[in-house]
Amino acid sequence: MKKIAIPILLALAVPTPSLQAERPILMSDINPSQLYSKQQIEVEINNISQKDNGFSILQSEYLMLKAINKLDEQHLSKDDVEFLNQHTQYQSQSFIKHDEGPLPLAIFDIASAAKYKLNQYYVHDKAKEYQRLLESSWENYKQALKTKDLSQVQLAAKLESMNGLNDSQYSEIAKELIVSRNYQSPLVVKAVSNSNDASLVKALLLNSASADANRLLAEKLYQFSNLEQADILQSVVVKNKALASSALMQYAKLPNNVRSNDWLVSQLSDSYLGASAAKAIGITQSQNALSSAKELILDDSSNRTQVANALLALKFANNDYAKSELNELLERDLIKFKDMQQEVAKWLD
Amino acid sequence: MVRLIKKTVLASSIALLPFAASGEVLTYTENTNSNTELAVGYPLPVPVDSMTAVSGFRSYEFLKSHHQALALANAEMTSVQVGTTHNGREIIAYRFGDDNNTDLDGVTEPAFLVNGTIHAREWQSPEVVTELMEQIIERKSDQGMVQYLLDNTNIVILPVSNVDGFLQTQRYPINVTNSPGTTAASSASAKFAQPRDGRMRRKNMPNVDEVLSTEADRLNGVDLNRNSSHFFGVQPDNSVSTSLIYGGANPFSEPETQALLQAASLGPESRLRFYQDSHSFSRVLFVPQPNNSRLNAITQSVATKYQNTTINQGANYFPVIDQVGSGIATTADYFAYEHLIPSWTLEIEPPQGFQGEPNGGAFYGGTGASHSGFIAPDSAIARIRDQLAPAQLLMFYHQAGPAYVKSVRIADANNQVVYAADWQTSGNSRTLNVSTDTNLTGGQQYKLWVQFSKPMRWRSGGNLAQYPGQSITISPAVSFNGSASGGSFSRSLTTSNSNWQSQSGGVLAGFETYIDDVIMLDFTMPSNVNVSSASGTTNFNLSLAVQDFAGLSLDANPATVVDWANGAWTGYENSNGAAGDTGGTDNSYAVKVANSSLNLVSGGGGSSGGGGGGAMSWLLLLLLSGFAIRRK
Ligand SMILES: [Zn+2]
Repeated sequence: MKKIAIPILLALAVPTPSLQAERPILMSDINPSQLYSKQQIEVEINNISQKDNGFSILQSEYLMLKAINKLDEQHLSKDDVEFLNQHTQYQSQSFIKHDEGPLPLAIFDIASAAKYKLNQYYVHDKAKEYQRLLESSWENYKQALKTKDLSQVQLAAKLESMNGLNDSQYSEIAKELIVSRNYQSPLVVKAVSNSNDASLVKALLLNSASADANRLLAEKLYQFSNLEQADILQSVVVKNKALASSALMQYAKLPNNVRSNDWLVSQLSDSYLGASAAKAIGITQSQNALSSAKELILDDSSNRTQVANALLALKFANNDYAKSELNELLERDLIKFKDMQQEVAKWLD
Repeated sequence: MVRLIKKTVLASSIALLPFAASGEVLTYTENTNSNTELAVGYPLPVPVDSMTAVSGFRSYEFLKSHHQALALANAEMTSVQVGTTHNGREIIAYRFGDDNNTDLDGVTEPAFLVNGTIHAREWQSPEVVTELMEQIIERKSDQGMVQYLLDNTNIVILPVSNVDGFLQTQRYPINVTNSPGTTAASSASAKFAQPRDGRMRRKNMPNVDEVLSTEADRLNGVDLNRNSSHFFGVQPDNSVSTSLIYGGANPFSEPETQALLQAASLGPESRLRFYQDSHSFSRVLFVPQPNNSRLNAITQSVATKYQNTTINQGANYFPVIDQVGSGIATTADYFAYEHLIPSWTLEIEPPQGFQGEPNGGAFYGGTGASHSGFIAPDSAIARIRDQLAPAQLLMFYHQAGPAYVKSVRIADANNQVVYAADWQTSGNSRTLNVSTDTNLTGGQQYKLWVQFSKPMRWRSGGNLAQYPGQSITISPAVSFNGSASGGSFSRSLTTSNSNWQSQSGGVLAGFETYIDDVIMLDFTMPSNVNVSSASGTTNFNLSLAVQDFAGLSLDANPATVVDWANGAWTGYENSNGAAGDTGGTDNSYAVKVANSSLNLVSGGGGSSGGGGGGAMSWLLLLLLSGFAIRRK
């Protein structure tokens, strides 16, 4: 397949209009013959096997992309690498109109596919080096991980090379890496995530706002005891604003005997987190917490934040008790802020 | 109760289906490709159960709880159920503003509508729209832009309109079903070419169960962005019920599009001046162009301002201008053609087709696989949210309308008010009430205080700055004009950026209602104007030329209240008093200066030409003219 595709690519190397980086390719930049409908694309692709005398632009690009995707990034020959390199600059010539407006979109993103495949190849290649190092010397391997990452490829290769490590190796690497790197480092995140070490996980969750930290919070905590989870989650709620709301929701799902509902109620006064605490109380369905919320609403000294979040706790609980309490609060005019009365009335409609 | 019944009916109707054929379920992966898997090249986002913003995409239940919590805690935000989906779920819009529907002058407020998540798979949309809601609330007491908007306008935001569809995509965050017409035996690229349902559902969910593998219903649903009345059914596939762009049986047949109309009525519709429908992806604005040249000029101007703000924030949202008179029944087409207001479809990043920038998911280092642009990585969304909020807020500020001069005060060196004028609004017109009009003296020191109807300047860290991406002249232009012996004259006062007031204090002391709604400056009354008689007074008309921080010039004649009709501004005069869309210099304040303090000439020698100069040069000129008089 690729033997066919290379000459086609060269034949197609028509200079595209030089475009400013500041704008996308517009309809006026392309020839109407370059624009295909979904039906035309389908027909063209279905007809590929029947063509003996040359391919349309769309068909050639389809074949190019197919050839690229077929390559095994673990085993690329020199020719394959050359083939991919040639295609990393390829500018698509066949377009489809954007569903929502007059913008031509490349049907096949050949350059991106080639770049990604090449990148994967370099990463695997480099990862093999690290793996050889790992097999020969644990100390040297650790040292190599600690050296500065010179490129994204090197970083990705290090990450890949870590795949076969065991818990204690991950833990050891995490402890050594954190001396020179912060908790945003993907290497630290990977080592900590796989370490099965509650204190390391806790430290990361207290010090990172990243998507990785979120993922760790959602996917890895279950491996620890309920008490350990409760400790980690409470600490995150208190010390890491960025993860606090989702930590509260997880805390709410812990069993009654390790969860402090009073503590959840106390969070209702927090102007940033109080609404999340209300949601958490709703998740617990704790009768005591809901009673405390009601008291907070009735307490003359409660401020707007407290009243609002206590009302929310009842709303989010969404059970018969909470609904009848809300009804009563409304009917007996016990919600002291008028705008809140109006919102609560809408919930009960 | 209603909801319970509906669910039961739905459940039993599914159970009654004679054959529950199963379709093939495909999976997106980080790095694995196979006949049923497609690699996007980065971790796939899974909805996060968090009410506050995270580095990721929040699940619908928690977004909704967050919106409701904000509405409860803040009197400036109210929730309104505007509809119910096919599957019985509430569709909720939010109104932002004070508790009346009039601005500080008692005029009915203009309104703006932002719609989100009409297409289920476009997860960037609810996050971007929610960020806008959060910023409005966080800044509600900023004494500036946002407080002004809350006092004087009505912002309506519908964060998630296709609730059923959005939930379906979140229920199956990494799974889809194969392209129509393909089978398990088809190639992976064919199966993933037009992925449907699950994570790639676009349409709503009429007669669709929530089980992904059900073959019979997976292509059902209406494209809510083809279900509007203008250009309804113009595309052939709009009438094919299994098509991605099926337009439905009739315009506005769907509860979700009806809900959008209901949300618009909260404006109400007649007060709307801006509409944005928030989609992904491509990093462009699709800008409809009805056959209305004034509207199109304004729309293109504001779209460019929007783009410039996003460029300043690090992302170039390029306006793609539609052909005049063409459309495809999008909701943006509807608001552009029905209400003749600036209206567009925002396509949030990743970009597509920009030279030098990878397309779709490849923009984030991914494979660039087909449709991967709908799957932005978790790590990108916080930046995306932040980059778009300033541009959207700027649109509200701009479309709130141009500023006008509300009040003018001039005080002498003893702080005695010598001139006081205030515009008083009644309905659609204003009258200038001049309550103090003492004669001023050329060559004397005075203080000028002028209040505008908007916060006129942007500050960054307390310092005057351009609004992100905009470019205006920050210092005000103030002059005195008139005619005297021999012809007209114009004398500019020296102004500077520091004339803008960031300290409160009101009349002759600081800003009045909003930070930077006032300029205050000390000046020497020009005396180098020739008069033919030493008795009497000469009118010096105070002229004010200022742009707001969106670049809108003043309404040069505040007597007619600015409004919006037929696709353009009304009552918005330029310096010559002609109504249009550009505004100009307000020249309405006639200050009397005693002729005895001016330059007495016997003949009709004419006054010297205009020119600038500060207090020093005026003093010099005064001395020179004094000599001239004495020599005669
Ligand atoms: Zn869309």
